Amino acid sequence: MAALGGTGARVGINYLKYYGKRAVSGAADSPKSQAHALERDERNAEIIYETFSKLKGGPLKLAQMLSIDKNLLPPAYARQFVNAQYSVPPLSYPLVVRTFRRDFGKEPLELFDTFDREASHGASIGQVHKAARSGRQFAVKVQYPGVAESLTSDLRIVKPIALRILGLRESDVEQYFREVETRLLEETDYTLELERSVHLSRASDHLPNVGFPRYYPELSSPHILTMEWIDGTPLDQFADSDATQQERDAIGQALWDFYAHQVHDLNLFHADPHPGNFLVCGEKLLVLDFGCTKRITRDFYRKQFRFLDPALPGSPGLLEEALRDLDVIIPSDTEKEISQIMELCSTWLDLLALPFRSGSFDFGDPIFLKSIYDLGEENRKANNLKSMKGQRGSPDTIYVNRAFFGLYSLLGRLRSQVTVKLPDWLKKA
Amino acid sequence: MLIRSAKLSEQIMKTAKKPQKQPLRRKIIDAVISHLEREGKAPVSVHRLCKDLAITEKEFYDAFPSLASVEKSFWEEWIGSIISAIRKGKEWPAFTAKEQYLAFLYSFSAEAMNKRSLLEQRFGKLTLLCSPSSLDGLKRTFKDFADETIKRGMDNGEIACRGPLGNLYPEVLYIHWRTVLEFYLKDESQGFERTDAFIEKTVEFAFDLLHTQAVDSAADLIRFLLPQIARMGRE
Repeated sequence: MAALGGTGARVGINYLKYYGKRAVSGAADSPKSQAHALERDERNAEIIYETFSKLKGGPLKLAQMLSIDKNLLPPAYARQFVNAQYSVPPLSYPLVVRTFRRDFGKEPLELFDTFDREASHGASIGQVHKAARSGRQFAVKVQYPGVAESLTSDLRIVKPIALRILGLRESDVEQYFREVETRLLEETDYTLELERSVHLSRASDHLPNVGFPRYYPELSSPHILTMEWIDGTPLDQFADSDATQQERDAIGQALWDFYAHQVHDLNLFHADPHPGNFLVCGEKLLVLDFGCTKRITRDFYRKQFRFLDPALPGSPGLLEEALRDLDVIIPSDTEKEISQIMELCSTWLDLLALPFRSGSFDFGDPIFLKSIYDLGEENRKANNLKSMKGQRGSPDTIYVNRAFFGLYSLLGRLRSQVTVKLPDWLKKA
Repeated sequence: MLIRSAKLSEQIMKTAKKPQKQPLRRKIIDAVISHLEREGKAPVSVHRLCKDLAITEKEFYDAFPSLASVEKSFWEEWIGSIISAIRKGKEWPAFTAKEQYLAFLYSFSAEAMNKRSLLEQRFGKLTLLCSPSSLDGLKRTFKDFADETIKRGMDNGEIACRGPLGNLYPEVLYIHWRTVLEFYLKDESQGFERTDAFIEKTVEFAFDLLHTQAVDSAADLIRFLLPQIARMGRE
């Protein structure tokens, strides 16, 4: 996570911001009048969102990735992108029937007693219908046809645009794009999603205050995923409600524990922490969507989370070694480049590892997220970072970063105070 | 020969209540279509076909006026069977016009997977504007269905009434169906899923146009601007 310095940071945070500002108005950095800039941002955001939601598939996913952190985007963009998480043009009911016939040879009403013709809500690459059978209620997720193929072609279109916006060389980021494409394509594979959902929910079921819907493999197929229907409050609504501090802390803690268990113990985690994927039901946090999951090797995990070692910040030698291990510093780097990277990474490290240093951390502190935002902004403007060549860091870092950015931002929104423990192997005796 | 037709009529008595003509028709259609599928062309003559089927030419001509009309009937009945199957669906009466039309197209795209090579052979090289006579019967059945769907749409306000222009709608839907067919025949996606997406998107778009007054206001605007544009052209 601390390897956010180097390329990881460029593709992570700056990605969000470059997109948000540069994409549409190059002048957003030096607005003549604040009010004008705001207005323009608002209009541009609206246009972008409209285009994205019309294109569905790939661009919509991209819009979702951009919206994981409201705090990392100019507010106007964020508001429009957040819409992308919930509203997509629906699939017609006859197409739902067609998909059922394709995969089961049966119509929805042959499998369920009732099946709502109208979708209850959209998912990024499909939509969810409510159904019932023998007194049980189900959430049935149905996928848009041909989504995997259109995703590949959408990405082909988006890629050169994104590269130009981010000011990156294709050869430097090829493997990052491949990683994003692989994850996005995995999301279109409901068979894999079912497998991972069942696996991750079983492996995390013992955690206090964390719950999962039950999955129904016999009612699922490559394009259809059936799970138990759960009523609850969407996480962002809960965050914006008048919930007490105690309730906020409990849900925030559940969220933290869930991610800590996945990342440190399972090395397989839910990499899509946007509020649409969680419900709050009483004291429990319910995790709904395992479309985007990331598995990391034990070896990579050790290299990546070594940055949490409390001894690291005080020891330049250890830090350099850790950065070399992750290829953030590469053998061709000059002395000057090495010291630039070292400086950048230790600033990032101080900031991002902060929650791990104190045993208990208050994510409600607005300064924390704002500092992350500002530091990203600063890096973006730093020309000496842009001129550094080569592929740096592992592509596996992207989704680790995304998970933690998402987690930090959700916790910030929840204003939770969370107890944080270092994984055992990092605790000094 | 005699014994055989005796056996045949015996079978007919057992299995069908319909007049004897029906199974013979079916038999002829099946023979012509499987010849088309196997050989890539129609039987050389009615005579040869009758020989192969062990029927008289009179029997053939009692059922069909020509070899070409056999194929025409096949496609007509094929589309007819798709339409009557979707009409039997439990939810059919509750469907909007758009849903009915979509249900038809998805049923078509599913059935077309059983007849892909034949469709490709017969219509793969056609342009949209060319209208083969083998599709005449299909077109009639299709337009009857489209007519009914459009009336339903106009009744429930899904489709804006545009006076005489409305009479063109079934023709427009027919041309749309032909584009779906063309898309399907060129589609090489897994399970032809892209055809389904094509159907979804084009129907959505078409019904948006049929529903809103955008077309009317565009026509009105053009009429209004026309004299001005003409004047500008002269200057």
